[in-house]
Amino acid sequence: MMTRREQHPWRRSLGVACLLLALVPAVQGCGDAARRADRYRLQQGLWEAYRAEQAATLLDATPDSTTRLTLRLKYLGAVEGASAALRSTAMGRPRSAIERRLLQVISQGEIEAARLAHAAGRPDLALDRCRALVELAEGDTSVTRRADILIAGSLRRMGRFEEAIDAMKSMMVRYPPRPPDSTGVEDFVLSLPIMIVDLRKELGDERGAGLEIQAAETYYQGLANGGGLAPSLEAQVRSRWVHTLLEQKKMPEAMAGLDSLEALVTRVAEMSPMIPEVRYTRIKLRSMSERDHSASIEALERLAFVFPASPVAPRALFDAAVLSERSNRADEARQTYEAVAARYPQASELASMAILRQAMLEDRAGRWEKSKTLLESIPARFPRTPAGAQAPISVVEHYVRAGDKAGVQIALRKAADSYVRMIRSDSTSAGAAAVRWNLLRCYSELKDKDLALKVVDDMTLHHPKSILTARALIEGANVAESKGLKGLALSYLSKFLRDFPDAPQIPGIRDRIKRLTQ
Amino acid sequence: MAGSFKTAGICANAAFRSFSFSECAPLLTILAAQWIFLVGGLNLGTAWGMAIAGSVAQGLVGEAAIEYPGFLELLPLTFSYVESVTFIVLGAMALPYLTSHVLVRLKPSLGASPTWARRVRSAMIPTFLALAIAFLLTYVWQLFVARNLLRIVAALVQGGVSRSVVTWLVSVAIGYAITTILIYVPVIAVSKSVGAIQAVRLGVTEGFDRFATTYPFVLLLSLPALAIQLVVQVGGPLIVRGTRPENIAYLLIFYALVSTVATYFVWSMVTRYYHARTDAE
Repeated sequence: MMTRREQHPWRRSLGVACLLLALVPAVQGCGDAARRADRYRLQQGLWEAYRAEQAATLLDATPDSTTRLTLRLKYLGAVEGASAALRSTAMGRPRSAIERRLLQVISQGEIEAARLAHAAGRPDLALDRCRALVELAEGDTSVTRRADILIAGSLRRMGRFEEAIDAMKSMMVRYPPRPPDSTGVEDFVLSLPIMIVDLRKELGDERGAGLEIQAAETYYQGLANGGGLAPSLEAQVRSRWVHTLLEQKKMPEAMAGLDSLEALVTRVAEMSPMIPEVRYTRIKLRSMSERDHSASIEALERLAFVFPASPVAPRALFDAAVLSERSNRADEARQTYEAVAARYPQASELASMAILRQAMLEDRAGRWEKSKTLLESIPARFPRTPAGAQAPISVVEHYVRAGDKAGVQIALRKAADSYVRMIRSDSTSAGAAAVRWNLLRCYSELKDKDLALKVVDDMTLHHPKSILTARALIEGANVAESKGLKGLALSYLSKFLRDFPDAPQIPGIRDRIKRLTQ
Repeated sequence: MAGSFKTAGICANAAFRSFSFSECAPLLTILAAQWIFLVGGLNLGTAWGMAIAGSVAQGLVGEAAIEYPGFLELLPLTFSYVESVTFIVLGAMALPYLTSHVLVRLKPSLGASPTWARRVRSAMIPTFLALAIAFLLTYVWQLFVARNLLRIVAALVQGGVSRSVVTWLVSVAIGYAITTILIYVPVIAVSKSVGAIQAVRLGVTEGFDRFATTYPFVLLLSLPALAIQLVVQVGGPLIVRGTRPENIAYLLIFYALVSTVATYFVWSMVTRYYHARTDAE
């Protein structure tokens, strides 16, 4: 006969289970369960913030700044507690593995918050938080790298270009470039020297850009000759190096660099995705020294056809169009420009430039209506590109050439409206200098003197070192003088002397100041 | 005599009608263990939750299983391991007692036997062996599913959801067939005074003999649990990404309860079915 205890042994099992459960809180202090739980809670908070952002984007694809800043607070709310806890426990001892992982999650939240701050037009908010993150990271480069990228980006968006360049240069020193990941995308650090060059160019500082391209060459050369690089990284470094040589028109060195690169790319199987880039560079080099571009045009078109998904495909097609245009094959050039914009709209700079060039060719062929439609589409489709800044002025220039005064006035008014819209959407980027300069030209032509003077003030505030600002100061002095505002004209000219002491116009400016003060 | 479909149906009906909490109680140890894991999982943001469910999930699946929402995305998989382990270990103890309770209820004189308690205890070893064998065979079958069945189904069926459902149906049908073949082992181990290996051998023979009449009822009685399992397995990612990720854990808590009740009905039915045959003999 079974006893009651024998009939119900599961009751004993339940008792043992309860005892074990009671022991859990007693032993949970051992190990890192509490830290893992912290990380889990943090991830939970970030997930909720992410879902809130998704919901906001569903309602409105481009939420307004207030919504973005509210969403940003959700990310920051999630990381706040974990950051404080990590800050208080990290003093004076190396971080454990779980604390480092916790830091990684905190950095994810901070980066999302910074992204939203940028999108809301408040890079200053991102700057402070990223600086605090660098401090919290205590030299953990996997975190400081990402934070430093955002710091440089914030400074650039705030118009503090020199500080942004300093930040980028400091990153080049502190972070050795990493080999590409499985997707083949190059490390951000490798693109920094060229970003600095481009920024100088956008600022209109051609001399500075020249110096930076030399510095970039030295940087890439040092990396390539330093040795010890993974083949995939070495190929990327050599490719960058060749491009800096090409930009400086150092043809024999570029050719030698290209040979080394080609040898490396063909030797290592995993480098095969770089083959289109090498071929493209070789064709470009050849086209620079030839008179008849037929072979190069055909080679570039074939390259884009064979490797349509390669990053060089849109550049190859665009260059083929440029060479066709130079060879007076206008119809062929026009069709190829059209193909660039149709096939590669995501390559915004090239696509917008292709439409602009196509519009020029249509105008020359006597098809002004089509040209005008194309030109008017560029600022709407690609507002933050050089072509976007150029297109409205190109419409004005057509009417000037045609001697249509009424057309000029209407086109100037339309262009001014376009530029105002473009500045409103992105008022602090380096490219905004060109947009403001064009707006100033429009207002000067329209005799809107007050508005013109306001643009000059904006340019001195947002783009103090730009060569376009130098031109704006002279134009501002002209406008002020025509309004009888001698004091204002003098202040613009004095600012020119102070900010652009190496400019060739200096003697003329001095004479003009002397004349105004007599 | 291999038994008849009608008898099996009567036994299934009887299992339903004579539901008894005390018969079901041994299975509650399995349910308790599974619920502790799931409730711990819902509280992974606390140290105790991480200490219980986090350490189990990390041990079974890896670091990704203790992140958010990774833990909940992987929960159907992690829980299937927890379910298997708890069922093999705790089920080996609980099923002989469940069978014993049903048999004593059907024939009270059995409980009066002086060797009965010892026989029930010794039935745990063959039951453990049977459950472990069923798990291993199902695991091998799952490997086949992962390597070959998915490809075969992909070639035959169009549409992502349809493929997932068909794959799941075939996978579950074979998995339950394996369990059905070994389902009589605890019943025979308790009913007959035989060694562990002999009990497994006889149980498998019985399982094969009565497969055609037992298998449909095993599926039928498990239907509610299977329906929830289908939702969890096929719609899991959608539940995690499309709704609150925690919903998958709530669904699994409900699944564990329904599955425990289904287990009770299945073994109650097969015990009665086996008893009906031996009685007739």
